[in-house]
Order: sequence, then structure tokens, then C-alpha cells
Amino acid sequence: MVVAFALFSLVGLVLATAFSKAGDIWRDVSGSNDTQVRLRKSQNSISTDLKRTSFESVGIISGTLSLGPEDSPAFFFLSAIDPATGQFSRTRSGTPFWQRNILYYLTVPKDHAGLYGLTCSGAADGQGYDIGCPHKVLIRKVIDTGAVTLPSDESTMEEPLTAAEAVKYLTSPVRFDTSSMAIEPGLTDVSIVATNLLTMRAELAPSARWPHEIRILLSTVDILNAQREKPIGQTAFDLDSIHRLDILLQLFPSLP
Amino acid sequence: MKRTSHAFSLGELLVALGLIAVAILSVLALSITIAKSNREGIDHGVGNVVATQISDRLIDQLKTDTPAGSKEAFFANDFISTPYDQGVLSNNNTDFSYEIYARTVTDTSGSSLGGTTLNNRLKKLDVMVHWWDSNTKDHQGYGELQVSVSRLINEAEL
Repeated sequence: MVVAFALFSLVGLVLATAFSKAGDIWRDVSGSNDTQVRLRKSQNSISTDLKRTSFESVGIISGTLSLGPEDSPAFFFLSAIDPATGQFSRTRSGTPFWQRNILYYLTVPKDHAGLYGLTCSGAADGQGYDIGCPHKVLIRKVIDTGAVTLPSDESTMEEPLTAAEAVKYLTSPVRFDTSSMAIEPGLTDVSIVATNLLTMRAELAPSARWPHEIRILLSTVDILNAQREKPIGQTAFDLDSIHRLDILLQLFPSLP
Repeated sequence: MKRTSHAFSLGELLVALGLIAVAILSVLALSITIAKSNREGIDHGVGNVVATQISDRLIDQLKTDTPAGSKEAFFANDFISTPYDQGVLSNNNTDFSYEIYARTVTDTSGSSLGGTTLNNRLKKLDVMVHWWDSNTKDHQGYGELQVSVSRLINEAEL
């Protein structure tokens, strides 16, 4: 009887340990997958767009201030992709026929508390950017500024946005609903590229070695694991945080 | 008629417990393998991104000839056993080591495919990227991983 009891206790202990370990592994894999998917979606969208623009057309401006500190810088550039056909447009002389401006920025969605069931308080890093809320969304806007651009009429070619014009488009969605942005002038498309991002940086030619480099840093947090150790929204996720994941993109626009 | 009841013997109990233990440990081992495969797959994806970025960086350097003379040095020489450039690039919590090799593309007679026409040389670029496990930067079961990216670079297109 005693032997049987001891054996069952031992097996129970092994079983409990195994389940606990398997649970940890599942959480690690799941959390890691989630964070990587978010980063890869952002990376794919930004890389595809930026590789098909001209370095000279890229502009960087200050982003939204949802929680006090700046959410992240925003950047915009010209695109020669005809939205109707998806094809690259050229003028008769062979130069890109710019069709639209594209704007990327990170912001905290409105009704954050209703969406996530908690409130994030802002926490600024050394550069004044928020690293407290890991629920920011990456917005991509396609804008036809000024006169309507007609693919058949080169005189209507899209002009680059000015910083003052671009700032007016930095609006936040209500939860994940972007329908309220439809009234913005010239906005032809808006999408949420990725959710649950922490921060983003954008720099033009930060190193003299690569004069046409656009350097983008995207960061996200493994929320599934982080929330077991820290209160989400009340903690700053700095570069040393083990639950923070960053991906650095060095992009080189291919057009003159 | 007398009824007899049979209890499990200690031997039977031990065999049963042994089977259960094997089953549990198998599931655990499978979980660990899945975790490693998942990590390996993610690292491969990031490795490809890094390799592509390194080749894009080089092309930008050649286009702008930064530093001066680097374009001529690249196209005038082959870098087959000694890399044109090498280093370490940190991304996605991983240190990626890279080497850049380049060789002139030749036809079957061994002549340069671009011929002797000025500014028409053609190079095959190979970027090799290798790295160890992400977080610990140590051997973690899947060993050292490597990806390579190759592309042709025509001097005239720079």
C-alpha cells in the first residue's frame, strides 16, 4: 500500500511537471509566433512599398501623441503603383509616373480600454517615444493629394506631400475600425497593417556609408509571456526587456 | 459458487507506470522539438532578411561609389576565397555573421560575359549569413544555421 502510494505520488509529480513544462513551451512558441507574425507583416508591407519609391521623396515627421509621449515617427513617400491595375506607371520619358503618396504611422487606437480591458499609461524612453503601450497599430494610408491623378494624363502627376499636409492625416482608428477616416481629403485607401506593436523608428541615411538608406526599427512585445511578470500598460519595455523583440530594416529605394 | 477477485500485482503496476512515464516524456520531448523547429524557422526567415539587406547595402555603396574607389575595386577583382567584406550584424536578438563573395561571370571560353565593353562587367554576388541560437548565442540543439543569397550585378545598371 505504501509502495503503491509512493509510486502514484511520483508519477503525479512527474505528470504535473511535464504538463507545466509543456505549458511553458506552448506559451513560448505561441508568444514567439505572434510577435514574429506582427513584425513580418509590417516588414513585408513597408519593404515592398519603400523599395518601389525614390529616396528623395521620403519624408519623416513627428507622430501622434496618444498617451503623452510621441507614439513613433511617421514617414511618407511617393508611389508609382496605379491603384486600379496594380502596375508600375511610367511617363513617356521612362521616369516614374507618381500616382499616390503613401503614409505609415503608429498610433494607439481609440477606446483602448474597451478594446483591451485595461488602460495603458505612457512611458517615454530617452528619445521621448512611448515604450509603455504595446497595443499600437501600424496604419498605412494611400493619399491622392491635390488634383486627382489620372494615369492617362501626365500633367496630373502626384506631388509629394509636405510635412504640414501629412500631419493632418495622423488620426487614430476607433478600435480597429478605420471607417471614420474616409472623410479625410484625398484618402483612397487605409489599412491596419499590424496590431500590438510597441514602437517604430525611422531614419534617413543614418550612416555615411549608405547614403540612400532608410532605416526602420520595428518593436513588439511578447504580451502572452510579459503579462505573467509585469502589468501590461504600466511597464516600460526598454531595449533590455527580454519580452521585447526588435527587427531592424535597412531599405534602399530602387528608383531615381 | 465461490467468486474470486483479482487485484493488480506490484509488477503490473510498475509496468503500467513505466508506460505512462514513457508516454509523458515522449509528449514533452515532442513539445521541445516543436519549440526548436519553430525557433529555427523564424531564424531562417530573419536570416534571409539580413542577407538581402546586406546585398542591398553593397549595391547602394557601389552605386554611390562610397568610399571612393570601392566600385572599381569590386569589379576589377574576384573575391572567391577571401571575402570582399565580412562582419557581424545584430538583428531580432541574434548576432548574424556574414561574408560577401563575388566573382566575374564568364562564358564557356572563360572570357568575361560583359566582354571588354567599358562599364559592362558582370559579377555574381554571394552573401553568406550564419548564426547560432538566438537568445543564448550558444549551441541549442539545432547547431549553426546558414542562409545564402545570390544575385547578379551588372556594372551598367548601377
